Amino acid sequence: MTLRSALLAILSAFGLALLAFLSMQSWNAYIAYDTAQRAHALDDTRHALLMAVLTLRDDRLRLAADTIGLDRPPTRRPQPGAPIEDALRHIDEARVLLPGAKLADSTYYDTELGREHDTLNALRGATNHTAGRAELSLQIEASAARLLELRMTMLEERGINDLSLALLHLLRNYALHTNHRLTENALNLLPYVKGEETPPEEVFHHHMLRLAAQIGGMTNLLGEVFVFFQSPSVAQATELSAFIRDIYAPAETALVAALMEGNADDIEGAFESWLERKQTADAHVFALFEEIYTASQSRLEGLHRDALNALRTWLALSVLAIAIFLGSAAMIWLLIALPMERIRESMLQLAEGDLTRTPTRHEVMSDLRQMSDALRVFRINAVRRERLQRERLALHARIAEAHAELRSDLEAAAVVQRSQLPAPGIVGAYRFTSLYRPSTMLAGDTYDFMPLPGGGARLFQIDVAGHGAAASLVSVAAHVALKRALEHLPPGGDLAGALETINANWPEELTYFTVLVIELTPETESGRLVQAGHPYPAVLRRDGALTRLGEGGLPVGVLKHADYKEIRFDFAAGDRLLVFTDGIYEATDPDKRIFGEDRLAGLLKAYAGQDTETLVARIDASLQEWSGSDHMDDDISLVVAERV
Amino acid sequence: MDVLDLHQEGVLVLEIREPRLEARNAPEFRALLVQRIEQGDELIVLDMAQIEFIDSSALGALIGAIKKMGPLGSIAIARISPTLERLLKLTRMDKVFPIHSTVEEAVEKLKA
Repeated sequence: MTLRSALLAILSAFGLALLAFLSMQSWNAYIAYDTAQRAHALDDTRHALLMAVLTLRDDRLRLAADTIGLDRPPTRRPQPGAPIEDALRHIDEARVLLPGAKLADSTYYDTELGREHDTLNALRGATNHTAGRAELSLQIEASAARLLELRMTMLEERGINDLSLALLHLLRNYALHTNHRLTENALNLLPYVKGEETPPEEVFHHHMLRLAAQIGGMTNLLGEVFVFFQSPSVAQATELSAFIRDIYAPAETALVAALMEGNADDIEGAFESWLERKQTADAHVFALFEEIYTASQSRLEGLHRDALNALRTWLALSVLAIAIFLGSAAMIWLLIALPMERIRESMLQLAEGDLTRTPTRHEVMSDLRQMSDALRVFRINAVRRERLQRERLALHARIAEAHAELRSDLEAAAVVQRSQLPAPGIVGAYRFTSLYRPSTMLAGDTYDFMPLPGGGARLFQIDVAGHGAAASLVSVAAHVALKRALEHLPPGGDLAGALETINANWPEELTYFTVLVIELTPETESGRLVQAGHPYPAVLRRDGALTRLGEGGLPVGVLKHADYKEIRFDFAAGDRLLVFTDGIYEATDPDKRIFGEDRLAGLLKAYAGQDTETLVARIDASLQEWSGSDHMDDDISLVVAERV
Repeated sequence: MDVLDLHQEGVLVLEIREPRLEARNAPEFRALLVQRIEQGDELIVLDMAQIEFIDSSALGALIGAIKKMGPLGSIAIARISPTLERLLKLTRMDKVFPIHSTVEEAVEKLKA
């Protein structure tokens, strides 16, 4: 799980939730819109059917008036067409409007309306005949009742969920009932207005009671309920109610009373008065219908408009939300996710040591910018480090080259120095064996041996203070100086004097050195030595006894005026003379403990019985074992002389 | 190099607090002595009680230092180990650097 995916997951979850909410709201708004639209269409349909019913009732009154030869029918308006025609037109109108209401039983209603249309259409022919008019009127009323029933069931299917519409519905029903009552009363009274017949008592009572009940109910309703609704429809209904109660009802009562009396003049007068009021009442009823229709249309349009506005609002909000969501997603992607990815890649690259790519992009977010900047600094440091490393390697290479050069120089010098050393072997009457282990390539130690006329031999060993190149150069100089001095000295000459001369002439700026000069003479079986700061040489006698020779002496180059003393010693066949530098007993072990002269003496005694090669090898092995390596701190040289 | 300077009756006593005087520290030892000499200390006692080993380089340093001294200057050695005394005797350095068993004796002799 990366930071990016987490961010995007959170954003997506949020976006989806928002989208779901907005979709739900939009869907609800759409449903409300659709409902309003359907309610509007249904209202139109039902209004058309209402008009059809009202027209049919008017037609019944016209037919009834025609039957008794009345030229002015007791209706609100002059009829343009033949009876039933208007109603058919209204039914057709309703059938056109019906699909818009999207009722579940749309087909059923259409079929039913078609059937009523056909029924009424069939009745049209009968309207021209006076005979059977009563039957025809009842058939028309049956159709009207059927239309009203359909109108009612349509509404029941859909229901009313608006209080204003419910009020209008009640008002309309009241108007419808009033219309019905007025029509029925008129139809019941008309046959008697020509005075041929007196209506029976129960007709009078019946009409009076029905009308009274109607008016009473209406008054109660208006007074107790509708008074809270301040609308023109309620005002108009109240007006209608008052008109019927105060003006129409008395006229109808007077007409009934005149009919009951049977006086033709009274009847004529009462009829004229009633007819005029009946027409006015009808006008009131129709005005109420119109008002109710207008109000309900306006209300429905309002609902429709509100629903449309709500739908538009939610859709706009949805679009806006989606835009904001996409915008923020893009922002997070561009400003956070992508930069993070770039930084991550750069970090991985850096971690893998790839320094080729430069993170040059300038991030917008300040913390990411800091990270990016830090990364850049890391990279710069890494580049610098790499360059330093490269330079260091180059330097190392140069140093190694110089070192190799120096080393080859030193090796050449070492070869020169080594060439000064005589090979072991027989010189005069003596055999020389040697061991030479410089601590570095060039040594401060050197030695030489040379034959003398008559079988004698001379030996010297030099140890220049310090070791390495400087000491080796001094050692070469000392070697040369001594060799030259001895060349000019005849056998038995003054060894001490020769050394004193060298000491006196030794340049002040050169280091001092220790030296041992020995001359061996076979015929006297003796030797002479001069010691200048050099370790006491050892003589390993034929019988294994070990003696040290010499009395010490100043090294050469310490004081200008030094006196050296020559010491004579016996040296017979079988005796071995060991001359060595201090490195041999100053060899240290890893704990810096020195080998020591006692240990050396012990070693010599222990191996006194062995031949010289073995002895030297034993000494070499012991020293190496002591120091723990074949590398020594100081130069080691050992020369062994013995009589052949 | 760990050295303790101490003036006793016009004589500089240098207590050398090192176990070894060898090629590694010989140049420093020499420089140290030369510096004291140049400061005007012509009578110096080296207290070598703590020294276990001296090699030829260190001896060279000692010789180099004595060569810097005037005709009246002198360096004496005190409390040296028997092994080192043997080395100094072998090289006759005991003639150049008088050896004394105590610092007081060395100071006393130098003053005389």
